[in-house]
Amino acid sequence: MPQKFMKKTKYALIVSVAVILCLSSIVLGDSEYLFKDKVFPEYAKGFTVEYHDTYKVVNLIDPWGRATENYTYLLVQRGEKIPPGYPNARVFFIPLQKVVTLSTVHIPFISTLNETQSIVGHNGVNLVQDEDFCKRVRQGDIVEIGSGELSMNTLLKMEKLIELDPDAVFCVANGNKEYDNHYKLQEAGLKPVITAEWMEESPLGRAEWIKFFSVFYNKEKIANQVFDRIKNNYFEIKEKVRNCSQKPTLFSGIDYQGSWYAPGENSYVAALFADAGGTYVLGDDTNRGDTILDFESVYEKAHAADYWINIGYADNIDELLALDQRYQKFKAFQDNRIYHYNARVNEHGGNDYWQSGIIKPDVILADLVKILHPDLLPNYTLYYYQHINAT
Amino acid sequence: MEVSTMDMDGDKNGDSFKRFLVFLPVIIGILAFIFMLDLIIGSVTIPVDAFVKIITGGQVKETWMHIFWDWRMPKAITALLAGGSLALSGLLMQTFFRNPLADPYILGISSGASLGVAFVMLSAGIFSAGTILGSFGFVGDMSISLAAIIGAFMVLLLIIVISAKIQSNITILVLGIMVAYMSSAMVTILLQFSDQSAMHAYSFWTFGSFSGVTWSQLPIMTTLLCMGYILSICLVKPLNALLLGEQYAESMGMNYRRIRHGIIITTAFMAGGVTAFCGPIGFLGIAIPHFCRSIFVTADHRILVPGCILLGGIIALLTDIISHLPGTDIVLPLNAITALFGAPVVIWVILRGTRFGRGVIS
Repeated sequence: MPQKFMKKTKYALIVSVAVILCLSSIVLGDSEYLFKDKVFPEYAKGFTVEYHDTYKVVNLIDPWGRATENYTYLLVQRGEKIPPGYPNARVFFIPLQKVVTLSTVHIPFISTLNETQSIVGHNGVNLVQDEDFCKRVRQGDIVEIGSGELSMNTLLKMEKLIELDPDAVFCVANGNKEYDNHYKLQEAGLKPVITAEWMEESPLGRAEWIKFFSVFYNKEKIANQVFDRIKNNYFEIKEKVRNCSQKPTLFSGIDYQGSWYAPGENSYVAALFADAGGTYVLGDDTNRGDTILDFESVYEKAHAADYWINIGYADNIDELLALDQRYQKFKAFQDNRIYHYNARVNEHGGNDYWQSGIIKPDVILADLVKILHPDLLPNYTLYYYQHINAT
Repeated sequence: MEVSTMDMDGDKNGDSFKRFLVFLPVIIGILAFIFMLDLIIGSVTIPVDAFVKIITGGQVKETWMHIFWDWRMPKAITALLAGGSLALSGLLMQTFFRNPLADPYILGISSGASLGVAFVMLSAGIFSAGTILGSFGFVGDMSISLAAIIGAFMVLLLIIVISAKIQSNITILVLGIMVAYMSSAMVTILLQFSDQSAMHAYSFWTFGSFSGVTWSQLPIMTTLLCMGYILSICLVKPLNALLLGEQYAESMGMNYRRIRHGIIITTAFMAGGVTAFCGPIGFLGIAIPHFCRSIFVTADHRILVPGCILLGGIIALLTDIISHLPGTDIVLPLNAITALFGAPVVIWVILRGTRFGRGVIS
């Protein structure tokens, strides 16, 4: 009797396993076939991706928390039908073949995915430092459709943009309806894709937007590889400073006429400072972006700080002093310990820190570690940062 | 603007002037109090006993000494002088154009200054401008102020040349506004071709602030503004005569053309000086003259000129205190505060003026 029972259960088990296998191959089979590689954001909070048989659903979560500005992008494989059930979604046929980028921050993502050849128009071509991109510009394959300034839709050359007839227009939303150009683009029959990587709170979250871009090109595999490499590098460098007993104090930003613009405590910049083994003395609010402080309170908190990192719109010591001679009162100034991320600026003012830096937080972190703990990375040379000589 | 002739008549006016002299110490007292308040209140809390020690030369924390002497003191002096200058130049312009809506910038002076600053910040870059000016012997943080002064002076020259040929004040007014439009158009074009960090630097400048003035700049600004004060005091009599019209002034034996130039140049000194060092600060210039007329119930410039200097200082110091939001780290753009608190004042004054018919505005 027990033997019989055992046999019975054995059969039952085999049958049920077979059924499950069959069912799962029916359910998953097609999607496995079309989209073998998948991306799922770990750090980025601005988007989610769902995979289906012939299409993907990308949800863009409004970075300002307004329900009205959450968008659904329906990414349908070329040659396939638009699936029903997504009345409000914006439909794109992937992989994209012709895109327009409205911000320099989009270039490193697309370039890293080896899709620069898809870019046919850009806003502010002079500012871009990407090699492939510049080559295409020289060949006349990329049309200038603006002036590089993000926040004024009136400056976009709309007619040229419409004539290009791109599959998608990548644009940056800044949360202000007056200045955001995706409404206008939508009206003109174009297909805007909003990116909000700059609202991410962590440096890795920003870099992870490469996954967002990869979804549009079916290049999830590269995105995962690149991001995992960045992540591992980042943690490796972060690990180096973990056992440091010394955490030098630092402050950041610049004053203009009494208002000091500094990164907020929850900003990705503050996260980089902390991960690089620094103590950021201005971070005691909960701001994600920049915060505006009073000059005197900054002086009170930061006068004795060891380092001054990021000096805003000044580029060198003369400019700093031309803005305000009282900067000399900071100890970091007197000790000649000022650093700024302007080592890689092209002749048109395009700063690579704001371009490839977005996708290389590990390099920025290494720069900061080199500045704050030079002995930990003895053979490393600064990439985005340079020393601002105050003597 | 209609002005009651009662006030202009020397004998009857003597009363309100005497009353003003009686009030004068009170106003100066209030000014001194607010000035001290601006020094005491700030985002960093300095206890009163430490404050007394700083003034009397005692020993306190070094950072407090720096905050007090390098930040708060120049800021308070700047607010005091800038407020008075803006009020005074607003008064001059309102009387000159006989228009209650005239302000210090109506001649296009601030637009000229803005153009100068935009030119330096956006096209040349702060550093290269610094080197250009440096070769003329100017140092450090003077380049922006100098650009503003040069810009304002260019506009002023234009206005003087035009006004030498044109009789009508209204024509000058329209020309001033046109010059302003032209310079802001040029600023817009410069903005379009500049990089973003320069654009931000420029937009911060347009927010206006008393905090940007350093000890090295203060003597130059003080000289410019005090020259404006002295010239205004010299202009008191012609200004009173102007209230009754150009013909009346000329019948009193005054040279109208010289008065006109005097008023324009005085305004340029003060409005240009303030704009150069603090950015284009709005609203104080238009609001405070009305406030003065309403408080002192007069149109007599013997009262209004010192009144504007003092009340301008008081209100500028108050807006500075408010814009630094005592007790917090935050600071708000000064121009937002001046308009936010200035507009209700003007509305109140205008409504009051109609109700009581005090000869302020009809």
